[in-house]
Amino acid sequence: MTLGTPLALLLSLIAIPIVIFYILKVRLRRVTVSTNLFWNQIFEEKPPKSLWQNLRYWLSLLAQLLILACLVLAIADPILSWQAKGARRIVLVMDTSASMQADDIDPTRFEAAKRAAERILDGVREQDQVALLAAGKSPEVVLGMGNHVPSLRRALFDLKPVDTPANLEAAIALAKQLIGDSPNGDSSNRQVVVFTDQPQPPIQNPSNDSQPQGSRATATPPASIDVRYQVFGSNASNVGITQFQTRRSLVDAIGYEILVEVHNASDEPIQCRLEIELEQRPVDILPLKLAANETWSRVLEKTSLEGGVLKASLSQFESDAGEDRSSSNKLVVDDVAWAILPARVIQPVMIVSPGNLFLQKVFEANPLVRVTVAKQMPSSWPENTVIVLHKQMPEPLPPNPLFIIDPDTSTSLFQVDGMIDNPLVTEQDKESPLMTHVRLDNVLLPNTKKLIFLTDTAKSVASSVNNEPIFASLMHEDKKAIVLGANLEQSDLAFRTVFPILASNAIAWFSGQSGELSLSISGGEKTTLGSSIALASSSDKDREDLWLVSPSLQVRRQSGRTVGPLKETGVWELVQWEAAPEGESSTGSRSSNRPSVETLRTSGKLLERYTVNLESSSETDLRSPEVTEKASLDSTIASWFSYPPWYYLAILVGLLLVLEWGMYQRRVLA
Amino acid sequence: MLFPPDFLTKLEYLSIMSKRVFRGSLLAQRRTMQMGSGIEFSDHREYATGDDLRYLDWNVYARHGDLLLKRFQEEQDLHVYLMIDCSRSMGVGDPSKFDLARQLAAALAYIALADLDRIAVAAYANDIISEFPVTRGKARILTLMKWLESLSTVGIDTNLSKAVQGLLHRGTRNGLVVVISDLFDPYGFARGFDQLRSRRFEAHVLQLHDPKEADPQLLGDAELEDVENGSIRMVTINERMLRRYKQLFMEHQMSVREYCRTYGLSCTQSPANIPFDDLVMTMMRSAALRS
Repeated sequence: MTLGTPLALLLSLIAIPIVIFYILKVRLRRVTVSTNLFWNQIFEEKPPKSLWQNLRYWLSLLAQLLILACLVLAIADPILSWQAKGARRIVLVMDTSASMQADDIDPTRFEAAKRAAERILDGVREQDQVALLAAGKSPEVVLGMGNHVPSLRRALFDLKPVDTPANLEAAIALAKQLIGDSPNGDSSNRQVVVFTDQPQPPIQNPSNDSQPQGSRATATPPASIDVRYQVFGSNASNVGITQFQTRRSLVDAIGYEILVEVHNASDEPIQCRLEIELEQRPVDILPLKLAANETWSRVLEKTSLEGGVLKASLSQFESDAGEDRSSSNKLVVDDVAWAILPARVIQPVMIVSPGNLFLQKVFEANPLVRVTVAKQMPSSWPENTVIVLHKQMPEPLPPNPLFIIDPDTSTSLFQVDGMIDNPLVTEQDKESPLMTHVRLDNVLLPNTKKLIFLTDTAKSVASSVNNEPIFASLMHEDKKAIVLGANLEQSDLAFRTVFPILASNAIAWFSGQSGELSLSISGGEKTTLGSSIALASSSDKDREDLWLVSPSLQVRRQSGRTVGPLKETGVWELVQWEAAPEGESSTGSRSSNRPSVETLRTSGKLLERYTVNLESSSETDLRSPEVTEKASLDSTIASWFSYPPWYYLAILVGLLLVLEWGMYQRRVLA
Repeated sequence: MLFPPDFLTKLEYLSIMSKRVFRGSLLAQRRTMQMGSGIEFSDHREYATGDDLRYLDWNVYARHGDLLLKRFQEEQDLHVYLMIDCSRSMGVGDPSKFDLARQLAAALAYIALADLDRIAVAAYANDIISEFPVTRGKARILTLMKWLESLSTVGIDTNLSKAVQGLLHRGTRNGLVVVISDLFDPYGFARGFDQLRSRRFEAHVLQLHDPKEADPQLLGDAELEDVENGSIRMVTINERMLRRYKQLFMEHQMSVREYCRTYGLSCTQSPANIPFDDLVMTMMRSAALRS
């Protein structure tokens, strides 16, 4: 046996004053009374003292000395040799996935799992090492290996389930790496305890375990680590939205499509109502009759110019007989889903052309465009209007977004240097939003102007075999501009759908619309900042004016281009907000000033919104296999023989205190 | 201070109050049953040789020829004897019983002196320790107070019987005896009062006790030292014993009351932490009710 703090044995010197005080106590305090007449009478009535009465003073002293001895020994923290050899390394893997929020177990699966984990912490001994992992979409080390139980308890207490699916395999692999090799080669004391609601996967060869992202490649999972599962769940029924997306229609400028999928993860048919709202205005209400285990999927076509946040929600769960079945829906987080429908903006366009009906009709056919045509150069240029310049170029160029087609003369942006000899498009920027659904490689473009750009911002979108730009984007007085050198009258553009699509892309590009599709992401995934924000930001890493507001109205700074992982379902908002200059000058630490949600919403600029949905059939399906055999955690959880010696010594002290108190009562109060 | 400056004022007040309470029938104005040279005719008796011829009833002799002697009721002053227990047990308490006893003695003596009675005070413990001789007149009160102040608690074990014997052996005339004591008498308080009764003394008991004697706050191990005889008792006091003590104390107090009630003695029992004048007033009221 070794002692953790041998110096504590010095406390045993307290025994000396105890004995002294006891001797002093035996020399009783003297009390002067008027007469002993009554006391004599009392004690003459009493029977003679028994052996116990004579001994109890000494037994009391013995009890006090024993109490002191136990206390001193407990503080000295003895470690028995067999305990030192049996030091354990345990990793608690808490499944924080959305399904753990199900309330089929009182109060929830996750809370029940936390209680079970606390029981293990109760049994943690001095020499044990315990780590805590959160198994969400990606595993996360909440607290590394240590034996400070209060910290572990605190970390466990603070742990909350998130709206993401779980990746238990990666979490277990990470847990195994955390455990590492046992110093004494004993593998029986290394355990990974998984608290989850998922069925226990088949035992895999540890060498084939998948490596979690970010884990060190040098760490090799040990060969034999005991992985134990504690499954929390029941055969609970649930209905959830497993997919919800929207996009703008390709054929209808103001139309959009909604893809919605609902899964009935129960063994019984159920009826419910699917309500879809756009910015809190009802769009559609669908009564659903779902068979057992049925996945219902539908694409709904709707129209809206404005766009906004689409919200789908499930309600009114009933059986076929019309009985209320709300209790069959044990998970709430998948009953609601959101999606962003991009708004359509009417874009004013002025066509300045000597006369080209095709060009005019192409823009007029776009319902999002309001066209005005001018054959002569106007005296003034309307604001917020895209100017389409065909052939004739004004000098100077108007300070508007420009769509220049087949310029006859040079301008301040480019120089017309004759014709391109071989105007076949051989290279086009597929990533450019201008070229979405556009292929120019098989389009004849005779008499295409050869353009030499005079600005550094020019970027070729489509170029000829000689790398001569045919279609290019550039910046003009901080406004966007595109230049197409092709001749509309002599090229095939008039006979193809490519030019209307290109014109539509151009209008969308000018108006800053992010496109037709703003994907909803599933919980725990990441997304990237929109291209417009990336362009506006010269240095993404240094931006300190971007703030992310979670659906639960938590504010955090957004740094870098990657947003997330977003672990909460709902609508996230990216807001640009800059602190007041005086705050910047006074403190110099602007980054520490976290604005409130109200501040962001009143004085900030909303840049983007992201919708996060659970969208996981595995999480929606709460049915856990019946636990036929209780997981054997007896050696891990707290038991009478798993506590350190000081614990038992403390109990012994308590018992001795009770004994001494009883003897005192017998002496004084009985 | 045993006798504060306003002590005499209080005594005077008590004296006036006593006259009002007893309506002039107190002490000296009570007639003694002794025949003597008074002026109030009582009865006749046969003439015997040697009788004073001045008291012969010549009218009776002239009418009937019988020699009858006229007897007169003698008016005598009442003798009031105050017996103060000055054993060491009287020194217990704060304020001590002994202080209150001396104040009471001074007060009662003043009332008696103011009523033209004769008083005598005896301090006793196991025997009469000191005595103030019979005296009369209010002017003697200061001397009495000085004497009282000079007293201290002494002696080993209270013995009222022996003290009464000492008083009687001094050839004391009958009168009122006021015993001021805690009556913690190992020989029994009743013997002393029995002797007084047998000698036709009118006894009055004034029993004092300290509140802590009635309700001691003692628990645990202790050495109990008897203040009178110095005997030590090593005890471990528990709640049960404490309850038993209180019961015995109450029984002792009750036995005193019962004795007085049986033999028609007036009895006043009081804790020692109340002012002496209040206690005197209480005594007087209870005496007035009895009369």
